[in-house]
Amino acid sequence: MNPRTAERSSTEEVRDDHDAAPAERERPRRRSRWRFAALLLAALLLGGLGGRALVGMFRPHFYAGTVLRSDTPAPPLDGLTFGDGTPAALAPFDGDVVVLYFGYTSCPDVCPTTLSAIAEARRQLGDAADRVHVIMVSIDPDRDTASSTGEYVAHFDPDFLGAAGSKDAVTAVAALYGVFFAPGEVLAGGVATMDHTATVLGIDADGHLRVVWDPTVTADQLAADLDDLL
Amino acid sequence: MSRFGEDLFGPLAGDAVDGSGTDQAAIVGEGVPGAAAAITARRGDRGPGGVETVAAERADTFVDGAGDDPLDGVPVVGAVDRLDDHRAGVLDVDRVDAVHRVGADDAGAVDDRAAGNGAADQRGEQSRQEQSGESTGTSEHGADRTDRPGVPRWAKVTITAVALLLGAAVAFVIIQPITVLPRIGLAPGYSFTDQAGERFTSEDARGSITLVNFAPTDCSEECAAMEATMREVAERAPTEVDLGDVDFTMVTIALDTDPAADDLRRAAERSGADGDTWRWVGGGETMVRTVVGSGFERFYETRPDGSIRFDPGFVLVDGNGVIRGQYRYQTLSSDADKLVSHLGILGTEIRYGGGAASVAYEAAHLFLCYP
Repeated sequence: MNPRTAERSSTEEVRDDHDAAPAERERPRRRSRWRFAALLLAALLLGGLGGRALVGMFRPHFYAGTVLRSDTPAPPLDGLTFGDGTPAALAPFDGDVVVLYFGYTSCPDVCPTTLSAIAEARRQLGDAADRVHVIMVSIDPDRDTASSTGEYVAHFDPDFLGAAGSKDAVTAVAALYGVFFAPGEVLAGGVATMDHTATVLGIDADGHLRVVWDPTVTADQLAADLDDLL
Repeated sequence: MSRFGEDLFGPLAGDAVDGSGTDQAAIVGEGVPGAAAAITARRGDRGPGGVETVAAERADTFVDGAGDDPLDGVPVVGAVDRLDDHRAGVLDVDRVDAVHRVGADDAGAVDDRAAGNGAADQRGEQSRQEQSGESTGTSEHGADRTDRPGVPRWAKVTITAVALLLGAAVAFVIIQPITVLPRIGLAPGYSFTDQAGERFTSEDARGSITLVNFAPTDCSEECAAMEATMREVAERAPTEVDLGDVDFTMVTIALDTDPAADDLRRAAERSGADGDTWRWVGGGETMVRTVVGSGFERFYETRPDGSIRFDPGFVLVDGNGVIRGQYRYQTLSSDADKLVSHLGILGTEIRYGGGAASVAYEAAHLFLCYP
């Protein structure tokens, strides 16, 4: 007998026998379907987790502010002066993050609140705060000077910088940062207020205008975003 | 074949020794070469008695006098198939997996035998040679067990997950289920006066989607088509675009320096600006130059005769003050159609881009899913 022929005969016989035992053959098929379903579910879960990790790789976290993905260079601070009398510029801060805010020293509420939040956010960064520079540009050129602006912001954080300039210079710089300002109402006591855009702007280490925060941003949110910018 | 028999009979032989000799004998009756060898090999592990009984029964069934091993050349296909099924039932795994496991067990068993019993190892070698010469009925088993290394289950799951992830990413980029308008840059801040003599600032437009264009107040013929586009958008936006709770505002910035309120009003009436949804606004030279020239980056210049030469176009600004669209004037496609379409895209992002969906919309920005 040819073993191979005999084997084929046995195979046929066995296969006939297999057909006669569908219950036994169905068990492995069911187990196979469950296994496939489990494998697919595991793959989907892993795929979801992997996708989340992938998003995290490209965008470490979800910013509280609006992120500008285009590499828009931050407009220069032409015509403005720091509190120490030096020309205001962003170049000295290349490689670090700059937080820019437009306010004024007589601001009753929004400015102090926002500057406090920025100061707290910077404290939360710990040693990394050395790489976060905060500049407030006064949009009240009639009453604020660079020196008075610098003294004002130092109350919130001694490392904060104040800047000021002529109305035209401030108008030009502020407009490019999406900030408007104009005389507002006069409060009791004769204090004139300024209406102005109170957004907070984040310039990344490459000198690009990267994030725009609403003035209601919290210190925690700001700290997290700044940490990511760094 | 001893590998088959040995693997298949490993636990079964044990069972036989333990008392399930009836099942063992029935399986042995199917004809499994190498079974005797397997049983013999495990005799020392399993103890005498039951195993010897099975071996005796097997020898009676399959002795053909050929060679030293009475089981050489005995067909094994059908028996192996049945044993695989049985083994699958015993081990609660599928049939092919049972063979793989058997192969793994077998490798270990062969090594053990080689260390402790040289004769059994020789029989194992003979059986493997026989196995390689068998019909196709067992070749897949043989190939599975002897030629292809097992892929760990964790590797299969990981590879499948990575493939799914990459496939989803590619599909997302190609199909672009979510389309967004790019965040081009920050719109300039401004403070102007409108045709009603009221102050209108960029803060008044915050929270609204704003369509901005630029023109002199005395522009007529050359501005006719542009103003027609603005009128068409103003008519179609409320009915064709769902912006949810977000307002839609249109602003035409006069390129004149400090235009009078009457000039703005006449320009508004000519163009169809209602003063509510669509305003004409103007301001001083510094403000206009900064906002239009530096901010929106639109060219314009005042000629010596006082007329103004300018680059017509439109800019779409979202509620956060971010420029989302810059449109040149009179391109191949209808300006109004494009503007209304893009307003719809913005509206969809506003309505659905919050919460958990923000991840998907940020991914759309990341993967440049732009119209």
